[in-house]
Amino acid sequence: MDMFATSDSEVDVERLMHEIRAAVNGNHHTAGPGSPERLTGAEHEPGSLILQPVFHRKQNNQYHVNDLLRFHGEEFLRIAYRALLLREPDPSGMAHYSESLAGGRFSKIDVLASLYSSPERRRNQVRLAGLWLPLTVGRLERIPLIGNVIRLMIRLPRLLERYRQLEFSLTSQQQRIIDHQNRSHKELTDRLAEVHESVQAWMEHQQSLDARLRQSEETAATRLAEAREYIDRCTTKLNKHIDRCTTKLNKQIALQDETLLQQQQELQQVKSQTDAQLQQLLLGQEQTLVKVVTQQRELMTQGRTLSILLEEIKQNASGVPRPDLSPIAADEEAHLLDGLYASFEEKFRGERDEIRERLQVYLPILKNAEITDAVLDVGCGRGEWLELLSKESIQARGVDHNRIAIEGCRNLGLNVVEEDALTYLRSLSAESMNAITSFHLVEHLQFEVLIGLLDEAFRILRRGGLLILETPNPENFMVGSYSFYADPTHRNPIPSETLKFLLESRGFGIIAVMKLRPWDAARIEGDSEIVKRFNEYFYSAPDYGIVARKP
Amino acid sequence: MFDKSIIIITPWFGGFAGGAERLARDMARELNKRGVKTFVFTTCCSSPFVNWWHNDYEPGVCEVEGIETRRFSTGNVREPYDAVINKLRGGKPLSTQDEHDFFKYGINSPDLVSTLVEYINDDYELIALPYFHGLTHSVINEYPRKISLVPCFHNEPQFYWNATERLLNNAKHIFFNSPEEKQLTISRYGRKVGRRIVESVVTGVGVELAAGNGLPDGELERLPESYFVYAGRKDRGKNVHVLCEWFHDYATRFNHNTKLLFIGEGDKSLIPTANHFIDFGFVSESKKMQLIKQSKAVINLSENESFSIVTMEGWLCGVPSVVSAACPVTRNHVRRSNGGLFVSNKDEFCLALNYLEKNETLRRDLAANGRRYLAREFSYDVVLSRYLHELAAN
Repeated sequence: MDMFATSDSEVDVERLMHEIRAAVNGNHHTAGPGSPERLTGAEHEPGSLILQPVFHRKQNNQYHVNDLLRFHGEEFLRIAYRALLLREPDPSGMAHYSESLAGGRFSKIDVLASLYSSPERRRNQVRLAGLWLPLTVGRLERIPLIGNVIRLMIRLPRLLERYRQLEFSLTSQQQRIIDHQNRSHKELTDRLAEVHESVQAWMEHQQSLDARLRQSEETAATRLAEAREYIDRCTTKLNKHIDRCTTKLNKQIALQDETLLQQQQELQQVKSQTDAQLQQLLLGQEQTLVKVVTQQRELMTQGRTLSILLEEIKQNASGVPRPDLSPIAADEEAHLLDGLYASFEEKFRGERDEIRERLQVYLPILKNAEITDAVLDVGCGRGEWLELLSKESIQARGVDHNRIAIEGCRNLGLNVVEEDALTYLRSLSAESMNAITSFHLVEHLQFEVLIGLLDEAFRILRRGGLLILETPNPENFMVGSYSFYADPTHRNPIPSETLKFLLESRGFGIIAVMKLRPWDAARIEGDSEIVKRFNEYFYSAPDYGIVARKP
Repeated sequence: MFDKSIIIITPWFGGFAGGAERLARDMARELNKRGVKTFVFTTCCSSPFVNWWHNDYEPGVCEVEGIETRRFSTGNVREPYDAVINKLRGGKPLSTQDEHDFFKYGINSPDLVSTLVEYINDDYELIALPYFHGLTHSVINEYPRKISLVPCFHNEPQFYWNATERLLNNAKHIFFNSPEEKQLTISRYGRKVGRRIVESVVTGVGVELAAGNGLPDGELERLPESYFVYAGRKDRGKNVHVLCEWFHDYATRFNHNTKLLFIGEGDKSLIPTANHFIDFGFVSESKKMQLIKQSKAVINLSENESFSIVTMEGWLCGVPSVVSAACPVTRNHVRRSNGGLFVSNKDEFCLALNYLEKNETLRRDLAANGRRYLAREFSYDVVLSRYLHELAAN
C-alpha cells in the first residue's frame, strides 16, 4: 500500500510536509517513529490543527475497545463505523448516535455495543475486545436503586480518574492549540514582515521610479521647450537666410538676364553685321567673279586679235602683202566687244532658269503646229531656248555672232553656229526650216538689216512655217523710257504695231501678239481712269512676242 | 550575436571546487561552447583551505579543462587577515579598518588588479565572483561600474559589512543566483544602494549533467545497500554538524543499515566516528555523480545557500533532495519544483528520510519534478541568455 496520498504524476511537497509534521505531532501520543504508518485520514487538510489521534485500520480487523474510546465526539462515531462496519457512517445513523451522545442517553460504550451487536458487524467479522465488562456495568447501572448504588461505588472513583484524564487532555489540547496558534502567528508575522519588507522595497522603488519619471518628464518638457525654442530660432534664421539668398539670387538672375539679353542683342547685332558683311562679301565675290570672267573673255578675245595682228605684221615685214587678212582683221574687230556683251547679258538679261521659265510660253505654239525639227534660233545667246527644245526632243540649231555665248552653248552640248545672223540666213536653203525664233534681237538691228532678216526668214521657212519674235514692249513707259536704254547695243524700241506691220508687209500672216508678264502684282488698286491709265502705262507687259506664219 | 569576449575573475580556479568556482568554470565552458570567447583570470592559489597566500601554481597562462586561464601571484601578506579572523572567532566587534583588512589581505592579487586596465574596453565584459573574497572587492572597487558582480550572497556577517554596500555601488551589473538572494539584498541594501538592486536580474545557475559523467553501474565497489549523500564542503557553516546529529538519530531509530556518504573536502573532524557515516573526501565529478545516482536522496541542511548546486545535482542524477526549511533558497527550490522535502527539525528529518528510503515511486516522482524544474529554469541556454542579454544591454 502506498504511504502517500499522491498520484505518481502529481506529487505535492507541501502536502507531504504537512503530513510529516502531522505525523511528528501525532507521535507525541502514539508509538514512536519506529513504525512507519499512514499518518492521517484524507479528511485532514494540510496545515489543519489535529486535536485527536489518527486512526489506523488494522488488517486483521481485531480491536480493543480502548483503541476506539480515545476518539471523541463525531470523530469517535466515524472511527467506530470505519472500524466495526468498515464504512463511513450513514447520515441517519450519525444523527441518531450524535443526539444520543449529546443528550447523555448513550455513552460511547453503548454506541460501540450497539454497532457491535449489528448483523453488519458480524458479517464483517470484526472483533472488539474489552466491551463485555463496561457494557455489563452500564446495564447494571440502569437497574433502579441498585443501579444508583453500583454507580456510586464503581463510577465515582472512575469518574474522578476520568476527570483528571479529561483535565490533562483538555489542558494538553489547549496547549497544542496555543502552540499551534503561536507558531501560526509567528509564521504569519514572519511572512508578513517579509511581505512588508518586499512591499516597502517595491514601494520605495516605485516612488523612486515615480520621482525619476516626474523628473524625466520635467526634464523632457524643458528639453522639448528648449528644442522648440531652438527650432524656432533656427527657423527664423533659416527663413531670413532663405530670404537673403532668394533676394541675392533674384538679383543675380536679373543681372544675368540683363547680361544675357545684352549679349543676345550684341550677338544679334554681330549676326546682322556678319550677315551684311557676308552678303557684301558674296556680292563682292560675285562681282569679282563676273569681273574675272569678263576679263578672261576680253583677254581671250584680245589674244586672238593680237595673234592675227602679229601675223599681219610678220607678213608686212616680209614684204609679201596678205590682202586676205584684212577681212579677217575686220571681223576680229567686230568681236572685240563679245566679252563685254556676254558679261552685260549675265548681269541684265536675268538668270538662266528665269529665262527658261519665261520661254516656256512658246512651246505649246510649236506643239500645236506639230513642229518637231528644223527650228532655227537666231541670236541664241546663252542657249536657254535651245535647252528647252532639246528637253522637248525638238531638233533645233542656234546662231549667234558672240563667241563667248557660242562657246558657253557648245559647253552645254547644244547645236550652235558662230555667225552673223543675216549672213547665216542667207546661207540656208529656201523653205528648209519649220520655225525661226529670235528673242530680243530685232531691237539691236538697223532697220535695213531687220527688213533683210524678215525677208530671209520668209524665204527659208516652209509654207506654214512659224516665225516667233520677242522684243521689249515700249507701251510700258518704264521700258520705253528707261530700261530699254540700259543695253547700249539697243538701237530703237519697236512698238508691237510697227513690228506687226513690218511682218505683214513682208508677207507673213499674224497669228498672235502676246503681251508678256505684265506687272500685275505692282498695280495700284482702284477703278478710276487715272489709275487704269497709270497701271497701263507703268505696269503693262514689259515684253511682247509676235507669232507669224508663212502662208 | 554577443560579439565581446568575457573575462571571469575568481579567487582560485582549477583545484578546490567550491560553488563559486564551479559556477565560474561551468559558465566559462558553456559560453565557449556557444561561441562567446571566455577566459578566466585568477590567482595562483589552489584552495581557500590550504596556504592560500602561497603561489601553488606558476603565474602565467595555462589551460584548465579547456578554458584559457591566466594566473597572477597572490599577495603574500596575511597577518592583518589573521588578526581579523581572530577577532571574529572571539566575537569582538570589527572596525571599518578590520573589514578593509579582511578583504585586502585575504585572497587577492595586486598584479591581477593592475593588469585589468588593459581589458577595460569595449571588447571585453568582466565578471567577478564571489563577494566573500578580497579579489572581487579589489577589482570592482578599482574600476567602478566597469566590472559586473555575481555576489553569491549568504545571510552571514560579511554580508552586513559596509564593504558590501560599496561593492554593490561599484558593480556594473549585479547577477543574483536566486530570487531569495535578491530579496535578502533588497531587504538589507534596497534603501542604501537603490533601485539598481531591484532592477538587477536573477540569472540562476546553469545546471546540466555534463556529457560523459556517470560511470557504468558496477564500477563502484563495496557501496552500502541503502545510503544518502551529502555533497559539498564539510563546514559548520553548512550545518554539517547538525546533519550528523540528525542522521545519527535516524539511523539509530529507523534503520541501522542506512548510511550517509560525504563527498567533498572540508573539516573532517565534524564527522563523528560511527558505522553509518562514510567520508569519500574529494572525488571526481563522474564518481560523484555515480555515487549520487545510487543514493536515496541528496541532503543539504545548510541555511546559507545562494543557489545550492548540490541540491540540483541530486535531481540531475534521478534522486530527490532533502533541504533545510530554514534556508529560503533551498526551501523555495524544493517548493517550486516539487522535487524534494524541506525539514525544520530532527523529527521531520527522520520521518522525511524514512518515507524516501521506503518509497521508490515517491523518490522517482520527486526527482523527475526536480529535473523538469532544472530544464525549465536552469538549463545553460536559459541562464546564459539572461547573462548575455543583460551584458549586451550596455
